[in-house]
Amino acid sequence: MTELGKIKLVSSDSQEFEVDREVAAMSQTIKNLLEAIEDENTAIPIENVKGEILERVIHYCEHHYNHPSPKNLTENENEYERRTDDIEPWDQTFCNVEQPILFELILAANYLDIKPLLDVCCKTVANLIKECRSPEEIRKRFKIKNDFTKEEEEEIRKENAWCLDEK
Amino acid sequence: MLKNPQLHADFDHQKFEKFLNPDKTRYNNLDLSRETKVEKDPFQDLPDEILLNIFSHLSPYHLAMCSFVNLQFNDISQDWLLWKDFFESNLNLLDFEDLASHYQNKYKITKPLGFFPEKETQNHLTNPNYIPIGNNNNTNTNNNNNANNNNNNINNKISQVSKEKEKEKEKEKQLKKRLTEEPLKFFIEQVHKYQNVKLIHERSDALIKRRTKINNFSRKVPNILKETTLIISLITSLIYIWLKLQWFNSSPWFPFLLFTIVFSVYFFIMISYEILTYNRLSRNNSEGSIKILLFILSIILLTNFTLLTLRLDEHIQISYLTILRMFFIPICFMYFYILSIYYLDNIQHNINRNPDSAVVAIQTLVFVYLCSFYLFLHFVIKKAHFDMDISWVRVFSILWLTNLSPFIIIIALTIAPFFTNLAEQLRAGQTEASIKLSAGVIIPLSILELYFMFLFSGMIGITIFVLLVIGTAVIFVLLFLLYVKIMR
Repeated sequence: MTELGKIKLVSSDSQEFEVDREVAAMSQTIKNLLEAIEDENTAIPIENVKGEILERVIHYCEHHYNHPSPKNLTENENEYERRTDDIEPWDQTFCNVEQPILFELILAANYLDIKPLLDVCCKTVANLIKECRSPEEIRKRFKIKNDFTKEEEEEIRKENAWCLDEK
Repeated sequence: MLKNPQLHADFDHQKFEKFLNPDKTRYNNLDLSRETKVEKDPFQDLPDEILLNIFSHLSPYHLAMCSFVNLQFNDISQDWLLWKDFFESNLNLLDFEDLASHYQNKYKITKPLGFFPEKETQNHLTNPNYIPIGNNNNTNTNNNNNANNNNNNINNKISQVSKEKEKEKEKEKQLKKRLTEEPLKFFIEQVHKYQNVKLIHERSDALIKRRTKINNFSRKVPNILKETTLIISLITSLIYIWLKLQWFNSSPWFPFLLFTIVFSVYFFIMISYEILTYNRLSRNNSEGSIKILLFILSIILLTNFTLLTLRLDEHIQISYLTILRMFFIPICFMYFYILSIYYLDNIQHNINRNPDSAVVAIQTLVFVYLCSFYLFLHFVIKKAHFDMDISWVRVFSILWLTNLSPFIIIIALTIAPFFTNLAEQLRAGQTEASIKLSAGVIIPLSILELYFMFLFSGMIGITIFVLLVIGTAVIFVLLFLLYVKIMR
């Protein structure tokens, strides 16, 4: 039996988590599920998310449920701005994790449909990309394979020396 | 790796070597601890929309860089959505002007709208004098060649010119094709011309500074306009008083006409300015909406004045002076009041959103209402003290007519927030909201004007009314077209 106002989430590796109903409802996916399920005691299986990740996601939701962030009112849609330096300090520490975990968080946020978490993680990845100064650095950092054919690479190199040459 | 570097005469072996064997020391600064456990490419598991989300936080420079990482990155970074904002928001950046004007044209209504003149953009696709960035040397040599060719006969010249034109046309076609099909590549080509990355960053900084300068300037322009119009209105008022003293008895219409003309010309200029500087309108459109509202309000008040004068002349003996004062004072007060509010608000940068402008408009209308009430009291006192021959019915009808338009506008503005919410839902900025707001004011007003026209006036009144209705219909259609233009 779960406590009143609480629900049970089960991760893909069968770990169980008890969460406030309203905290869990920050995930649109769970919210929709809850509306569909009649029996409140049913444990909700989160198939695609490992326990370790789900724990982090719940931690994020709990923090942001208790500390709702003020909406950015000064947002100006007309200005061309792609800001990634506006991540809150708490979120920064939250996202300061190893790369595999960060990417799994992104996938979990996407699956559970938690937009703020997804945005914050995407911004963090964007920041990681911004720290790199050449395509080679990006490949190195994320262990990405260069799958261009030699001809393609030659063409790219020829056209875009400005980008490949950092000096 | 590359097998035939000899194919390219300008091949830079050193750079290529560097590209193939990047300097390892540059990674020393990176935080390697994060990467130790990564075995496979983490991006491969991510759906495209997430990658798009990540890329949407990158600058064009980083986007371009990402396109060289691998096929997946290359594919995603070409997505038009990522570039759309950049191209559209950099219309003011001079160095991207040629690029931007193309996209600006893409979102324009191509048919001329009559009232909205086509903006003449210095487009490289249409401008024969266009010199592509970085190609200055080529054009110089071309010029030299042309100078030498002056000695040749005219036929040669003509054929050369036509050939050049054909070439230009072909180039244009190719450019157009590339622009629409490969925005990224075109962008890279443009940036490529700057030769090095540092310069790009410096350039973009300089461009942003220049853009803020331009913005500041555009902010100053209406202030100057306002100051001059304030002075003009003051002078007009003085002239009006002088004229009133001089000629009032002989020609009561003259000062009124003068005032009407000056007033209308001012609003016409302001509205035309708003429409011509269309980009600015959408950025800071509340100014525009205030002006549109004021414009409509002034037309209504002036028309009411004309109608009343015509009507009163036939039935009762009120001096023109009284009528003029009755209408002139509220209009003047409203005019100065709104100008001062507008001026102050502009300094505080508070009028940035429609609700503000609606508030200002409501304040104005309340003020007008108070002015009219004052005039009503004025009439009452006059009647009591000087025993003027005015029937009470007439006095009330005057009050009613004077205040009717403002009342309707207040009602319309109360409903307006619903329209504003709708606009927010559409996520298309606030311009539509202000346009709808104005349109929502015009329609009920024109209907009510019709009603009162038939109630009170003869043939002249009907003629004026028909003109008024046509005028409002035209304004409404134009506003609607502007709305459509923005929505596209």
